[in-house]
Amino acid sequence: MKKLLALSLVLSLVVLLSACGRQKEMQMLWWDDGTEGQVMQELLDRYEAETGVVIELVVLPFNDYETRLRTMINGGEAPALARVTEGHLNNFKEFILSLEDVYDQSNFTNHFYNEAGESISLPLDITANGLFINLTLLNEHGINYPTLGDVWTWDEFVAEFSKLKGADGVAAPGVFDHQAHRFMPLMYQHGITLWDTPYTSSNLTSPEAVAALTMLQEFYADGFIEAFPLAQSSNAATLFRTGNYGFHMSGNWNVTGHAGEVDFEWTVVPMPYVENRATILGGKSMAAFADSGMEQEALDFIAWLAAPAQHDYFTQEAFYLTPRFGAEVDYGEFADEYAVFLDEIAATDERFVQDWLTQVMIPGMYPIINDLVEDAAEGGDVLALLQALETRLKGIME
Amino acid sequence: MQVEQESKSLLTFKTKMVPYLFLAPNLIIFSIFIILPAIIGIYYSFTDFDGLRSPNWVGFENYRRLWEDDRFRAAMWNTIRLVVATVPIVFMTSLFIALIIIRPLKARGFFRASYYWPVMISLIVVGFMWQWILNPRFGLFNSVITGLGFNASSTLLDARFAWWGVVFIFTWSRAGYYMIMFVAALLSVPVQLYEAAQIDGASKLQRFWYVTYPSIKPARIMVFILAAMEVFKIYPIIVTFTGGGPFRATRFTVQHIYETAFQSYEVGYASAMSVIMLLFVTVFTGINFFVSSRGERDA
Repeated sequence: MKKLLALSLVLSLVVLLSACGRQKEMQMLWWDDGTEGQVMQELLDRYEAETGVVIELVVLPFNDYETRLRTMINGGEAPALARVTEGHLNNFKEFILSLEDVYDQSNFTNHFYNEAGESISLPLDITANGLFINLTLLNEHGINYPTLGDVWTWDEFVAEFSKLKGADGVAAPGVFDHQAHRFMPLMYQHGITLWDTPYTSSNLTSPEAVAALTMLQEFYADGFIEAFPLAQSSNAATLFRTGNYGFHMSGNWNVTGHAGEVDFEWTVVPMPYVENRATILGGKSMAAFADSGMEQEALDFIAWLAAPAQHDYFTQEAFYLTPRFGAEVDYGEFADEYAVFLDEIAATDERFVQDWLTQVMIPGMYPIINDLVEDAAEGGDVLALLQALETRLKGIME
Repeated sequence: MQVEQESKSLLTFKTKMVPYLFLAPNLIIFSIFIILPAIIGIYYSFTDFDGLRSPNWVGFENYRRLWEDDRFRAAMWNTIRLVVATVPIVFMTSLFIALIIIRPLKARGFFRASYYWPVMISLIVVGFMWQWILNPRFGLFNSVITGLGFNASSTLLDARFAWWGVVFIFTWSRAGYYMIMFVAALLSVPVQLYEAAQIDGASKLQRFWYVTYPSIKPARIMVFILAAMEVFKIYPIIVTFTGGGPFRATRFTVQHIYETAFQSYEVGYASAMSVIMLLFVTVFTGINFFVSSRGERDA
């Protein structure tokens, strides 16, 4: 019995010591919108072949992403690397390593800085909102649509696409996620920003804002936009892929997603406007975290990834808009679609770009505007809803 | 003599300690994973903790905010309404099935397994399954009724339909679990009581009301409290069934707390909500115990 006990003790110690001796694996946190995770995995494989350094790609659903990252940092187990949005960079900036002198920042746009004015991210891609249309469905029902050289107003667009209502095989003319990120372009297309000067004077109760929200409310009331996403968590992209919708308001991150999933013809066309054209600009970056235990290895990887050969491979293979100056990305079969996204960006006034960027820096703002879209879809007085939104937004900024 | 007395008292001490030693492992686990987080949660409710940075003490500020928070009040009220509607339905359904199933039916085992089957399906999957069935655009339910010549229903786009849908699928999913408790209790009622009641000329309904119902009191209390707790904490089934929609019609307290903590990252504020919910559940359970034990005390 004693021998058995001693043997178990020795075995336990061996297991414990071998566990202690294992080298900590370098992790990169990631979420997938389309096929870009596969492209990053190819780059990681290439990096391993060149340097012998193994980086594990940990793919999480976007809805849980920030919570997981927050928990890891709070628990002292920060990942070495993570794909991040501007919101993440803002929320975690004091936990992210400075990338000064790691790569040549002058080659890139869309930087983010910490309190000390040091760059803390390597921009990976730029995103822009846009309008996907189902060409098969529109041609079948004889519906015209805007094109790159022929941008429509919202009135023209609604009049034409409303012909789809009640048509065979059509659930609704369009589909839209009830999110701040989809509603704000409508605000900007009415020629209005959310704040005059950041966080002091709001334009939320202006006639333009009222008109923008009224337009959205009427879309839902008239069945112009599918109400079903309101009954479930957001799934507009999945609904569009059923082929029963004429248009899908989304962004360029859905190009590869739609391409692999649909059996109808589709393309991207310019979003309509009221006063001016406008899209929302965003982007994803790569960040290295402090206290990961592999800080230098993470910085070495970022330096490697910033080189043109690797960076251009990522944006080209994942079909992303590149933030690298002078990069020549061939979008191949999606060249026409990307031409539209680039045109949307070029047509967007800088004040709208800045207004949106300042919003994403406020934790908690996004769910509040999501609520607004849901409240508007339900009905109710638009001005009262906007006044309530203004009160809630000011509340979280205090 | 003294040695004998000492060894006797040691034996008594050991006899007294042994049960506690057996309880210790569970108590330690319970303390680490339930009691300690609950205490930390109460502490967070007095701070501005965001889940990342060191919390700052804010006193009763979170509770003051709660008082003015319409959305929290709406979620809490919605949850109370759900408890009031669902618990009696689950209670009666499970008791009714149990009463039928203990009778000497052919294939009793098959029926018992069939009613218990939904309990074995994860609540997340139950939500998904019924969401597919009741999907207003592409769901099985609308396919069937339109196939029969009726107009398609707006199903989950209709706030009232979605709310009662939650009641229905919760009952469908959990009645089997409580049925097992009732079956065990019903089978333990002494047969002599029924025989005596029958000799006294009691009808079937009277036998149920004066013999069965009082005899299964412990099971009744247990089912009532467990079902109420479960409905108060309802969340996974909602996430996949309706996501809290349409228009927040099926948004209940736990979802609101979760989103406040992990979408708005106001962990301190969400902790205050949890404390209020804990108080509600405690008061509810206390009232239930008081009402249930009133007869015993009077006796």
